[in-house]
Amino acid sequence: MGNLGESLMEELTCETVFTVGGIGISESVVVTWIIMAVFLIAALLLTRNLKVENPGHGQLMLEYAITWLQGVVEGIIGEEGREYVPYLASILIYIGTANLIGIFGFKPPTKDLNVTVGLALMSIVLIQVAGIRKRGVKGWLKSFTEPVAIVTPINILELVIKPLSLCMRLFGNVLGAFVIMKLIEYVLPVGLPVVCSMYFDLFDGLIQAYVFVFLTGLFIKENIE
Amino acid sequence: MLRLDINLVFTIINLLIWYVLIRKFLFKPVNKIISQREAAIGARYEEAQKLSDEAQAAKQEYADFQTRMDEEKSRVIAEAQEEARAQYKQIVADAHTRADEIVEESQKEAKLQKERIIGKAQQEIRGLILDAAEQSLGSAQNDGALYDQFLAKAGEASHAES
Repeated sequence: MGNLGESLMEELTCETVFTVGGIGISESVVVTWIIMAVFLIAALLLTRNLKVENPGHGQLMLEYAITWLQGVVEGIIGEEGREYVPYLASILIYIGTANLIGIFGFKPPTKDLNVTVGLALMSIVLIQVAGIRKRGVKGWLKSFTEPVAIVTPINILELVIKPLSLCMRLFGNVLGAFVIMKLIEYVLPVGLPVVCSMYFDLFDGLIQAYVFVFLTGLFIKENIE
Repeated sequence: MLRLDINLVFTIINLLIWYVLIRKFLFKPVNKIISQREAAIGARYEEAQKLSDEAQAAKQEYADFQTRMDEEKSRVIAEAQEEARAQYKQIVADAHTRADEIVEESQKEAKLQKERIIGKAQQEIRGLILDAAEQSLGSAQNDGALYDQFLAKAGEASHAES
């Protein structure tokens, strides 16, 4: 059992891959770079020779996938928040990939608190910026006293609660799924992990990506209505 | 596991770069091509609509032309009929006049001829009477021979007349 605990701890720790001038670059950042590089190359390759007339199968699939992804996000945020669709869609791709990358033997970046906190911080900034852009600074400040003045402290607290819940939900889910998978592998290394991996790695990973984007989109929609 | 450090900043920078990359190299070209295609389809649809409208207009014009043709045709026919009728009346009237003239002329001529014949006959008769009177006065011929002579002369005269 001690063996399991040790190996779990080792797996859970986000190691510093290398150090540049005394600054440690963590594994999650490096894996993010890898994801970025792979997607950049894939995007460049896929969007080569796009045709208006008679598109090939690859192009049709790409177009379908992109349209579908944008449709999902737009369905959450609505017509008014169309300008935020590209950001949310890109975040959806990133979290989805980050959650699934464990399959390829990398450590999922979303298992690092730095990443989920970063995502949540960007979400809350975006949510508030959307509110300010919609109502102006005055209207945005005023919105804290709505619907009644007495809830103002709670509304201000929400500024912290929303991103905290976002990041902890993502972090906890990925971490929990990871720990459970490790335990299952320890108990029964053959057969069962494959089945459970379908749920914990694939399904839960994608669901968490969707939930994160869904909630961010919902908060933005709330602020721009 | 639960540490927050400088990597948080790196992550945020990474995410911003990621957003720009995905937007610029994935969403933008794909969306562009989709909107281009939509524009092309729209243009084609518009063109088809235009062609259809044009065809409709041409059809309408042709129908109008046909109607005008029909109207023109019936007008020309009516005019021609009218003219023919007038001409017919004119011809008939002319013919009537001419026939009347002919009849009148021939009547006149017949009358003249008759008068001439009558005149000639009278002259002949007068001649005969003169002859007869001369003979009855000049010679002592019997009445029987005188009558015969008169009759023979009268017959000659009437033969010459006819």
